[in-house]
Amino acid sequence: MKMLRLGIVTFIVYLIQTTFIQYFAVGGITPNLMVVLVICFALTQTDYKRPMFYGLACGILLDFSSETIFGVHALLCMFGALLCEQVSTRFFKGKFFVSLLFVCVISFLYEVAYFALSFMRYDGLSVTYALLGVALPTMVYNAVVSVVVLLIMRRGAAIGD
Amino acid sequence: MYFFEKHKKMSIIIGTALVILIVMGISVLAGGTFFAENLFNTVVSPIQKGITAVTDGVGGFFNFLFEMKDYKEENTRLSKRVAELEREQRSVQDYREENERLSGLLDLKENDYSNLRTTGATIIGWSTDNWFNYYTIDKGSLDGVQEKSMVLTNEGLVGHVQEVGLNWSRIVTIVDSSSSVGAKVVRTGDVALVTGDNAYEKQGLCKMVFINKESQIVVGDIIETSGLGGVYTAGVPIGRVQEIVTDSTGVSQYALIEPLVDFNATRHVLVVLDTVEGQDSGQ
Repeated sequence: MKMLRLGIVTFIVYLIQTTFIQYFAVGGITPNLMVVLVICFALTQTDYKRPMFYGLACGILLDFSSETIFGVHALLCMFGALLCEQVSTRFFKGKFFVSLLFVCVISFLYEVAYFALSFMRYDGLSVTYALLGVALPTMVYNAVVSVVVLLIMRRGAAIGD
Repeated sequence: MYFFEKHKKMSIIIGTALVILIVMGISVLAGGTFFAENLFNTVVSPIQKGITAVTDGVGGFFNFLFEMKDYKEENTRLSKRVAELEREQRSVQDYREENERLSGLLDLKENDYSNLRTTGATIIGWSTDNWFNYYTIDKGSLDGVQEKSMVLTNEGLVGHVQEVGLNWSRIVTIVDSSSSVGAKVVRTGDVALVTGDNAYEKQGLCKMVFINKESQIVVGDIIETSGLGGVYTAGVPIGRVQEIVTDSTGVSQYALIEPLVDFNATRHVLVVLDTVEGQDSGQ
């Protein structure tokens, strides 16, 4: 039942990501809600399998609507989720601001890795703009959105308890 | 077997990663649209279409309330502009007739994109990341859409179809980093290339490169498709020159092009059903 609820929420977030999230663009930048969801979910887990396969599933959804090589999002989301789960189990137990910090770090690394994998074949790209003009603002926007997501998850966990 | 039992976690992670890498390799080598992607988007696109219709309606209502005063001023401005254009149209008609007469004498074949078969489509989805600039539309192979079909609006060129599903297609816009369009300066006839650039994409601008150094291109010049390159028919308006930039050596220059199409506001497009290859072979 819990997995079904998670699946429905994930699909709804995917639909939002592909449709009207554009209305919330700031300077042409929108948050990557699926990546935020993967990171926040992984930070609450202690076993590697669930976040890993959840990251894989979310990445596949992103690949279905992406222009880049099929599998790039799946690979990045999977490893991003694994990294978050490792951090969660080794370094802290649900500290809010540490979670937020790792959303920022993983978001930024995700965007940089995605840029590297997707744009390797192009010449003359502005790496400075890619980092400062896209990856960094996306990281900030993801962090803002993750505040809401983390609070909802914590509240959901508290009600569950 | 003992090895896998002992290193179960690493085996699962590496095994999954290998499967993904194999799928990526197949995706690159096979090209086209992945079967699972086609199936998924065929099912999901009607849902996206419904959501977009609702959000556009809600967004349109609030836009109308906030911008009512602006609409009145724009209405007055546009009425004056229509009167000016009607006067220009009368003199353009004379030039057109003269051009046709002279073209006929020289036996020149001209591509007239206004006579091509088109189908209207609605934008139902956008890029899921901030790196690419593409749309998903609600028309696909069942509607006659093909890969490399040109996409435009009444204002000008939008892009071309990159992927086609049964009832959906993905359009790459001209501001996307992967886009390149054979272009021509209408006033001078100089040919060049209009490409997307990630540094200007968020500003909604394109870059015009390989401009002849003797070119007399100026700010405000209209750029249209040249017909070279095999994707876009000639004569489709692309944009207007916003700025001409000379590089630090002073040897080469490029121009920033402001597309005539407002990519943030566009919701409906026209897909040309005749690809350039089809036009050339008379299909």
